[in-house]
Amino acid sequence: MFLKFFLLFASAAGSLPWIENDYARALDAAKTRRVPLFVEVWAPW
Amino acid sequence: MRSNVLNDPALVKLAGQFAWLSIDSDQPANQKFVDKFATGGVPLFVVIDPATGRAVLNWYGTATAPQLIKLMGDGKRAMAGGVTGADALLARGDEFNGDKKPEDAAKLYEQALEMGGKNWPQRTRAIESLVMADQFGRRIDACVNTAVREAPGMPRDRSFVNTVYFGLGCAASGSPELRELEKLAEEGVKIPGILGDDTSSLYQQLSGIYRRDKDEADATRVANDWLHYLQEQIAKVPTAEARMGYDLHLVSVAVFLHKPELAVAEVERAERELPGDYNPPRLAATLYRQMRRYDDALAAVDRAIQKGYGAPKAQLYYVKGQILEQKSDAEGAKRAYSEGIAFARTLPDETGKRIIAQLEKAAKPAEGQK
Repeated sequence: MFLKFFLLFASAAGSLPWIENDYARALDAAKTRRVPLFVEVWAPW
Repeated sequence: MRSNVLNDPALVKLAGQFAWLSIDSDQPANQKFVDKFATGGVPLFVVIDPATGRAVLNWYGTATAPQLIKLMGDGKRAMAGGVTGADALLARGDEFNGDKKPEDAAKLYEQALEMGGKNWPQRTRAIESLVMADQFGRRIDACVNTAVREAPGMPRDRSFVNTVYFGLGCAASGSPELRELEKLAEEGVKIPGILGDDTSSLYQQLSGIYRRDKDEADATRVANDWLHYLQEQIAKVPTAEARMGYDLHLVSVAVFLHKPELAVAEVERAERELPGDYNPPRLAATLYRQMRRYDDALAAVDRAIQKGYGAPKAQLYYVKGQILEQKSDAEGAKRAYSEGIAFARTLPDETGKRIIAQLEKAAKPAEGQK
């Protein structure tokens, strides 16, 4: 579920606008919007 | 966890207040991130200040949506500055945790608890953070003492369950502290409304400790309760993804009880329902192997290898080699280990090296059997 950057600006009605497996892009998004970056680290097992 | 808590409407309301990143720790491309921010396994939640790139909060384990919202609030406050007193000490402890300095974090959590006193609203959260930091920082005596001193007076909630869990992990065999924590754990597994991962992990910890200490009657009694708990939860959850989280625990308890057949039907169902996930065939291989159904185990591990990636995929070659050795196929085992080594060479350095060493060690006896 790769979400486009612009979705970060939308208030998602049903789910959170996760950026998947791309720290640099997520950090840029947080810097641009001046908000903290929340990260979930998980494993499929 | 992913399919429940992180879709909670209360959390979704915070969509605009954070940027959101999901990191699969098994993806080789994420290794640098994991090395930088993770000390003690997954799940892990991190709040990062984008201005500095530093973690202001680092939280291991599960959390309910309200707990997660509270933690995120702590992270935001730590970033904004201006917090004072015990809250400031807690925030600084969280920062040390984020910097992978659990020993320093533990000292600050201790100071925060002392300053905050008995009625400090963040008290139970700070206790839970303290025992966790004690364990990760190898402050074993402090970990046990905190758990035994604080847990009895805590509200019976998630923080209690996890404080007891970490305390149990630190307590020495035969010690009076262990006896005390076992009693608290017997109470903890029965508390309603706790996340399944937390309750199941406490069952696992408690039954494992009873077995380690040669108390097989209690180990079996607790494991049977654990099994019934999981079966009840699996019957309640609505999606295959959510059931998968419990299936991992179900296989653990079935193996613990030496009754792998108890989990076979559920794992086979999971493989039908989640055809792209390597976990169901991986778990099936574990079960079939215990049941000495080696051909089925081999077929299952091959399906898991096809779907797997990253470090877990490399580990699957090790499992395949082990199964082939049990079938007395030394040549086949050697081939499996070689394939695993070749694959592990494509992984990032540290992860790859560790697995290559394991596979090379396994390959030597396999060669010797020729």
